[in-house]
Amino acid sequence: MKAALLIILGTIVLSAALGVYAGSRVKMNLENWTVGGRRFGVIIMWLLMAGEIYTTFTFLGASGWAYSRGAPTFYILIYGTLAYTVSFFIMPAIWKVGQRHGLHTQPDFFIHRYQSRGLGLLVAAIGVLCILPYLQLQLTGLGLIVEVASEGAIGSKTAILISFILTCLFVYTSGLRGTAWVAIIKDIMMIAAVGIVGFGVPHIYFGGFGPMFRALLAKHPGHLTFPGASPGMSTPWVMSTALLTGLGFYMWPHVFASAFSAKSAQTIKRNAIIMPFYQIPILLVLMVGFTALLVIPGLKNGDMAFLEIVRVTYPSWFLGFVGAAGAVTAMVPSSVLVLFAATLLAKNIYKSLLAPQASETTVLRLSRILVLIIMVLALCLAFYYPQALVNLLLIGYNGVSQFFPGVVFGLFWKKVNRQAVFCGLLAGFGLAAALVFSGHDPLLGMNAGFVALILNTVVTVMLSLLTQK
Amino acid sequence: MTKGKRLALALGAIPFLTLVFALPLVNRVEPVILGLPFILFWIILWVFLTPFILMIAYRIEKKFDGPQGAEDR
Repeated sequence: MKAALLIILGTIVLSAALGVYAGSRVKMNLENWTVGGRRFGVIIMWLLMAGEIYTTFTFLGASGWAYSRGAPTFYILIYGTLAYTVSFFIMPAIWKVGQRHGLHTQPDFFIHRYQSRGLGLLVAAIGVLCILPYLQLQLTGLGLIVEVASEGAIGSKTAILISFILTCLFVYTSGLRGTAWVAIIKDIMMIAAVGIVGFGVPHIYFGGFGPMFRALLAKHPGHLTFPGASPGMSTPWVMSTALLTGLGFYMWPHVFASAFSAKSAQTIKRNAIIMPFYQIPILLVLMVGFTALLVIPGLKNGDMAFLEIVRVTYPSWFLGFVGAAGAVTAMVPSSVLVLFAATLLAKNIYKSLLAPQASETTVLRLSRILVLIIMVLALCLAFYYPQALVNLLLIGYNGVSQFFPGVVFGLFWKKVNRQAVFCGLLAGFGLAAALVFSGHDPLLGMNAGFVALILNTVVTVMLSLLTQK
Repeated sequence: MTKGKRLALALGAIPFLTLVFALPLVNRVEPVILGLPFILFWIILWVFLTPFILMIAYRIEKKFDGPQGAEDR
């Protein structure tokens, strides 16, 4: 247990130190802080993207879904692949606009393309609204992982507090560069942990993947085809959800902005080509969830399946290693989330609404202060009102996906205009929220966000055609 | 749209066809291939073929549109 403790704390501190160091050799301005000076090559982009994509959800959520829902969890393998394919076609174009006009954020793109501050404000507001619950989820996830992995030696609140003060520190000093460097540690540890456990447990208990699946099918015949153990999640749900999240993935403000940090359009294309290989660790995580269903059935909370099976299978120092990997896995995405929430608030809401004359230095100073404020806010929520944002989380993907028509038409269709995009976005976001909160998700077997995206697209296209001169 | 881009887009449609629109046809356990239920085998197959599909798309864009054209999207 001592060893586990040392590994967890050592990793967290070392990561933060590396993050701070990463920014110490560059003179910080807004460009360096938010988009890493637009100088990232293929390798650092790969690390950064892996850093952003694998959140605590990868560890806990995906294995939890495999454990308690079965086949519907395959949508995770699918949507990532669709998202990378989409990125191959749209991200280089976004990079170009960003490079030519010095854009830093997603609302910057909308403001530039549609010459509309109002649209920029709406995009920024929806973006922040979707980021905050996601950030809190990382905090809660980290607390849970460290508490279990240290077998109670570090309490959940202590873990959250330590790691997030350190995360604030390296975001404050180094910005996106800090994230990219810490992502190196995170990616190595995460891939090692998932690789060892993902190959390990099916072999230890069943002698391989094949026999494990045979045993699973014998015991739960319907688990590996849709709808698995979730009657609401049959094939139309999987199809619509994979499409929605595949199209929506690059619409997350922080993922969208990753296009701006690449050094060339070629870098982005090459990166998109190798990205589907990111799905290998996810596949292994699913194997762990399936194995756990057979070895430790009856868990009350399926999200604990990964940690629980590690705990009963491996020595405690290895559990500590997995916990450490889980902790950095929460820190890295949190750092980008908080960075972009702060930049959206400072640049696209404060500056564009209240102080159009504010200089970049002022925006940077304000963004850095906002990093601290947002983190304190997220900490308070995680500690005192852990349920407050659960509802918002439900509409996270549904919300950001509604940016898709505005972005894609904006890039490739001359006739689209600001009124059409504004109305489409409001209609899509409104419908998604209404359906989710009134308990109509899924609707007719399909993901409610997908239905909303269709409405959004239709409204955008119709209004663009009707209002053109 | 240039010829290279058209071809690249057609290739880009493949993951959508195989991983989304073909799902109703492949939602079954049999035949088990390499120990994997068929649905999972199918998904893994196309996930891992996608990088190669995108690589071909990248090459085709370069070939038909030149290095400049391939960037100009």
